[in-house]
This record gives sequence, C-alpha cells and structure tokens, in this order.
Amino acid sequence: MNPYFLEYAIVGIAGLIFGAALERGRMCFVLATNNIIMAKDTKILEGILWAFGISVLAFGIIESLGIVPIQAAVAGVFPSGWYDLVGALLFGFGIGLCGACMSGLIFRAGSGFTQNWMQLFGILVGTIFFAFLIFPLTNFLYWILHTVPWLALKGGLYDYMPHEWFGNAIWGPFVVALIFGGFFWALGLYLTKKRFAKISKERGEQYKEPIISWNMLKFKDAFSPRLGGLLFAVVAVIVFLTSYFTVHKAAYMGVTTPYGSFDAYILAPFINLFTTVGHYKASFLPKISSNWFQIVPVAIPMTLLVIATFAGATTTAILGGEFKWRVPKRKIMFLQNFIGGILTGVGARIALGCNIGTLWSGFLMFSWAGLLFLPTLVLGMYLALKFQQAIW
Amino acid sequence: MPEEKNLENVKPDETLDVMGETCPIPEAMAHKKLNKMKAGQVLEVYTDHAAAVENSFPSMLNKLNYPYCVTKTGPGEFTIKIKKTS
Repeated sequence: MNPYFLEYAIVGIAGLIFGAALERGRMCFVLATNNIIMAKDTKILEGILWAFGISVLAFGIIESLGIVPIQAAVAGVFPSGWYDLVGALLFGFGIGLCGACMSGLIFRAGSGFTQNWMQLFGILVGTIFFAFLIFPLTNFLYWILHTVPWLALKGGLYDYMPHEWFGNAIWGPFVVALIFGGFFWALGLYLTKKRFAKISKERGEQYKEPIISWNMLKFKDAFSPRLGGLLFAVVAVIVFLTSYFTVHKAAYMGVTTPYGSFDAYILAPFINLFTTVGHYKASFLPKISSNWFQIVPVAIPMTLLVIATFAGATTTAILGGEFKWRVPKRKIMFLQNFIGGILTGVGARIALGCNIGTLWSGFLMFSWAGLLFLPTLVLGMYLALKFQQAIW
Repeated sequence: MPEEKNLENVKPDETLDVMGETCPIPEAMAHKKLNKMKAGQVLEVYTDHAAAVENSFPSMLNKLNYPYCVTKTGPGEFTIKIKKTS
C-alpha cells in the first residue's frame, strides 16, 4: 500500500477519535482556566494534565527504546524563542475573548456554535494578515532561525532538552519525560483526589467518578476528564508512530498550520501565493521569503486531521443529542469572536503554533517551546476573562 | 451544594438569556446579575452551553453556596434556576 495513503488514512481515523475526545471530554484550555479562576474548579484541567502527562511519558519511552530514533524525533522539533512569549499572549487573549482555544473551537463549532465559526473566520483572516504583513515586515524567518535560545548557542538549530542535558545518552528522552510528564500526571492525580475529597465532604458520602462507563460509550454522558486526556495521549502517539513508520518523518500534533492550509486553498485560485509579490526587509537582515505561505507545505496530514476532528466532534455531538445550530442573542458576540479570532490566528502564527502545536507538542518534542508558551498564554486568558467581566 | 429539585416550580424574579454564547459569558453574566439581586430572589438562566451547565455553573454556585436546579428543555438546551441565599 502507498505509505502516504496509509499515513493519511490512519491520521484521519486519529482525527475522528481526537474530535470525540474534545467534544465528549469538553477539553478546552479556556474552559479549564476560567473554571479555576472563577470557581477554583480543576475538573477540566485534570483531563489536560492527564493528556500531557501520559503522552509525554509515552514519547519518552518511544524515543528511549529507539522505536522512533532520536534523529527522526528531532527532525520534527520546532525552534523556540521570544516569539513564543509574544504569540502566546496575543493568542491567549484572543481565545479568551472567544471562550474557546484552538482545539476547544473545533468541538464548539462542531456542536453548532455559530460564534465559533466566526472565530474560525477571524483565524483565517488573522493568518493572512500575519502571512502578508507581519511575516515580511518583521523579517520573521530571520528571528525564527537566529534566536533559538539554548541549543543555538552550541551551534545547533533546535531545542531538544535530552540532548542539551544528557548528550547522546539513549535514556535522555525518558528522564526528561519523567520530569515533565511525571509532574503533569502526578499533579492531575493529586487534583482529582483533592476534588473528590472536597465533594465527598460536602455530600457526606464517598464520591468517585468512573474513568469510563457505558453511558459515556453510548455518548449519553460526557467523558470523564481522565478518559478525554487518555484519548488525547493515544491520538498523539498514533500520529507520531504512523508518520514515522509510513513516510519516515515523525509528526507532532498541530492544528494551526492546517488553518493556514485552508487559507491557501481559498486564496490560491486568486493570487499566486508562492512567488515574491513585494519584498519588505530591514536592510541589515538577509533576504528571505516575502510571505509565510512560501515556507510551509500546503498538503500536510495534519490538515486532514483537523477536518476529521471537526467530523468526529460533530458526530459525537449529534449522537449525544447536543448538536444544534446556536446563534447568540447578542449579535455583538459575532464581532467579539471575529476580533478574538484574528488575535488567535496572529498569535498562533507568531508562536509557531497554538495550545496544541506549540504548548502540548512543545512538551512532546522535549523543546523549550511549551515552557515559554505557557506563562503568557495563561496571562492572556486571565486578562481576557477580566476584560469580559468588566464589560459584560 | 447539591442541586435542589424543589426550585423547579419556583417562579423566577429575574431571567437571563445567554443562548448561543459560550463560557465565560453565561456564568460571568449570571454572577453579575446575582450580585445585583436581593437575598431570597431566584434567577432563571437560559443556556445551550452544555460544558457550562456540567462544569462552570455547578462549581461557581457551590463556591457561592447558592442552591440551584438544572432542567433540560430541549436538545442541548437548559434552564438553570438559582436562589440567591445571602
């Protein structure tokens, strides 16, 4: 069988599972953050911590056992730098305004929330804005290639913590995975235990939530956060292994660049995206591409993953009796979501990815991207929540 | 505080329609409205955001210690009655 066909087929199935996990597990970073700030509730965060913890540990084992050789894993690692901090702040504020992160958007739009379709439209516009204005005007590629904070100092291009810390030791990825993945999973387990204890105390009886139940499998009940998190991890592992064993390129989860692919598909009949149409650059910087579309491949398996994720989320919303076209009574919410979507798109492009591609996959890559992205992402979401509490 | 089903038939003093809107708008606007209401009054919220009904509202109302009652009124549609107690 053609390895590319096989890769696309498996990634498509993984996307359906990812969509189900998102929609049924309510896996949204904005929802998790808002619930913590407004009500000190950690339920959604627990699912995200399970996803991060299990997947990071799994990737460490896969690389240390040589199932995917370190060289292949490193080939897919993004660079990281100041742009992660700046992009995450804009991105965090944008998703906060829309009430949905890049992955939460998929399950909300897939459940029929029209304001999140407007967010998606804003993301497409924001990506074009980045591609033709911010990218050439700031000579963005130069910064990506020349501001990698750690490994670049040693003459390398990408950040790969196991190599930085332990050289070529085969156990390096596992130790780094144990530090980060172990921390995330332990924190998730602790928060779940603490929440159960609190509810038990309030109700005066032992409280527990099953990880999985028949009603969850029949889509009657929402998934437990732990099941949602587990499925997230399974999908990331499937995508990583599939891409390596089919086309020998280890791919990490990402949903931002596919939105750029959608832009390319829409714009391609009208303008030539791939030739130099104007060149802006500071004179002291080297000549580079004139728009972002010139440096990214348009046909990538992750684009199919995003489409399949939409399909998976819509299917489970229908099966769960929750699909409905929802139009906000206050039409100004469309404007808020459009503006939020533009910030989401621009921020995600500046940070080279979103809460999936840069934050989660950053940890899966054992790069600094996830750590750099996290603090300003949370700050952006916090500011957006406070802003909305003030104006509405 | 667990749900109080006896609120189901109580006539609301105030209503809030946040249909079609996602978090944090439903719970943030409900919180703001509750702040302006008097103790003993009941607020009825119309929402179709299941994630808010399952997670955000119960946690916020437990923290405020306000009794509430959720009724499913249609596919993905809910009303939440909340009694402001203090």
